[in-house]
Amino acid sequence: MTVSHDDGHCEISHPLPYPSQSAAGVEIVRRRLMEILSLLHCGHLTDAQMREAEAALALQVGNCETVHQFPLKNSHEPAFALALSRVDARV
Amino acid sequence: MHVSDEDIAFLSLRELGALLRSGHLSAVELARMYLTRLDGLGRQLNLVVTVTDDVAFREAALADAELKAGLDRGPLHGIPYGLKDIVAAVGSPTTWGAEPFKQQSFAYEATVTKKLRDAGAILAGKLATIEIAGGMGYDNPAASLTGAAANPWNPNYWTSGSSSGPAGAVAAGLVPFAIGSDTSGSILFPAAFTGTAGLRATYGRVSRFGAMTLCWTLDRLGPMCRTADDCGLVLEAIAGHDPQDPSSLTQEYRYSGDSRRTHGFRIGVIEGACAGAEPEVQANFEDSIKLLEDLGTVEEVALPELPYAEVAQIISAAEAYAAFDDFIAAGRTIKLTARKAHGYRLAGAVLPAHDYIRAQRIRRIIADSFADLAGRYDALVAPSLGMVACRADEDFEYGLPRASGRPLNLAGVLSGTPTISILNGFGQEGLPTGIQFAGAAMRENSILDASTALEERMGLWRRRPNLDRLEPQAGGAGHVQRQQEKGMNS
Repeated sequence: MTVSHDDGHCEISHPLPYPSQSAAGVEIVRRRLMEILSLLHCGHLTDAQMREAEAALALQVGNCETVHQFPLKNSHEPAFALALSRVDARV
Repeated sequence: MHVSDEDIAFLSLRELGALLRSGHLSAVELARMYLTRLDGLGRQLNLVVTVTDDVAFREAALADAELKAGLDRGPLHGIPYGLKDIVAAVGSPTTWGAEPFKQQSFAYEATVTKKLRDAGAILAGKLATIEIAGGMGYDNPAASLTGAAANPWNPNYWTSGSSSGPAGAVAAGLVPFAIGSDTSGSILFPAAFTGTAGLRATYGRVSRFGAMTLCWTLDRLGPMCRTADDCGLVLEAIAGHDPQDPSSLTQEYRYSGDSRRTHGFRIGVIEGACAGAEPEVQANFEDSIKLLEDLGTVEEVALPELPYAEVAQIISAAEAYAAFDDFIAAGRTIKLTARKAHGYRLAGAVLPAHDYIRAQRIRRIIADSFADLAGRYDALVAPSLGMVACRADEDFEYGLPRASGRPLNLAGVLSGTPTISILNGFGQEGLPTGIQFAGAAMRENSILDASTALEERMGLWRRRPNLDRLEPQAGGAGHVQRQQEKGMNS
């Protein structure tokens, strides 16, 4: 839904929802990412490393889904956005 | 009146300062006593990496000369301390608690080390840390170059981490204070497990130059002491802008100290803070609240429901990977002791950049929301952790998810705001419980004043662990004596 202002500026009052993935879709993404991880390490990861990485990746994918579902507007800035201050020129 | 070494070891900074200035003992004598304890009990409890006796005796002799000549550098003058072994000091290795970095040393010192030397404090040792400050992931207390750090209150139990050495050393009276670090709880949790006071000050309050980076936007250094008042004294000495750390605050910090408030506090108790907590933790917390009611107003308040854990985990995953990207990409995590560390951080390689930024955008919302809440109170309180220390010889549940108190901790982590944990009682197996005071940005004095007022009411900080069952190693005392003789004769 759009909201029109007197100055002609329009904004989207309700941001479009981030498309959520099905559980099956999340699982496919997770498996593909594990393949990429293994490739990045040239297949040298041990079984134990793979297990830990898989668990971490499952957590990470879940965390990303959570933040995807948190509604944000385009104007929301990251916490680390730079705030520069003026340095007076030397006389 | 004779004061035994054992009594002296557990005095506050002000009390030690009074003994030094009255001539009851010298800085060299004080250093010798703590060095002996570090080298004996400290090694038995796996709390020590390096005893910096040469540095300590040199600095102590200088402190004695200065105090005698009338140069008084303040409350830390002549006081020994320890550094978590992720903070650089010249003349000793800085191992990051990990085998791959065992021989690492730096030709420069951290700003915090320099500030403490300028304040006249005496570097007595580098203290145990979990490997890479726990940043690669771990779920076993022994994930450290020095093994599982034993809790002085019961050596079968752990100190928590990653500031395991600093917390344990202060609790055992091996040093009067130490410097720890905190990315998502590594000062607060060990303080809670060991019954010490651990202060995570406002982000940027203390320069991080010369300390290992784990997460640029989360890491903080802070004091670990016997009392909240001691934390204030140390913070004043180590705080301040540092051009070598662009994230350091330009605002000065002055501890309220003798002009601190003693009553009239506005306290917000986090709703549901004791959910899932052990019975003793809850009972001690409720007793603390009753005492706080005598010191001001107390009301329950709800922490906004926001994705604290998910945001913290995404930010940590990205930044910790980036800080150690070459180490991780080269497969060197396999050299770490913690099995979890072998693979945990690998997932960071496939974390989309836009998700990291999305987490940082939500973080700003979290910070603004927390600022609004915290700004209405002198302190928000909750149990520091919902459990007492876990066993040192068993794996623990990663992240301690069942330990209540974490949402308030994570809100402070993400908001960059100050939090202190202090002792508020004892639970199972005689192990300490803690209460955390969280405040608004740059209002360290509010939480220090409130927590000091509670400490004075409770009178618990003077209790000491029973260390008699641990016989000091004879070799340790002799070693320190020989080093001192060498130093005095050269």
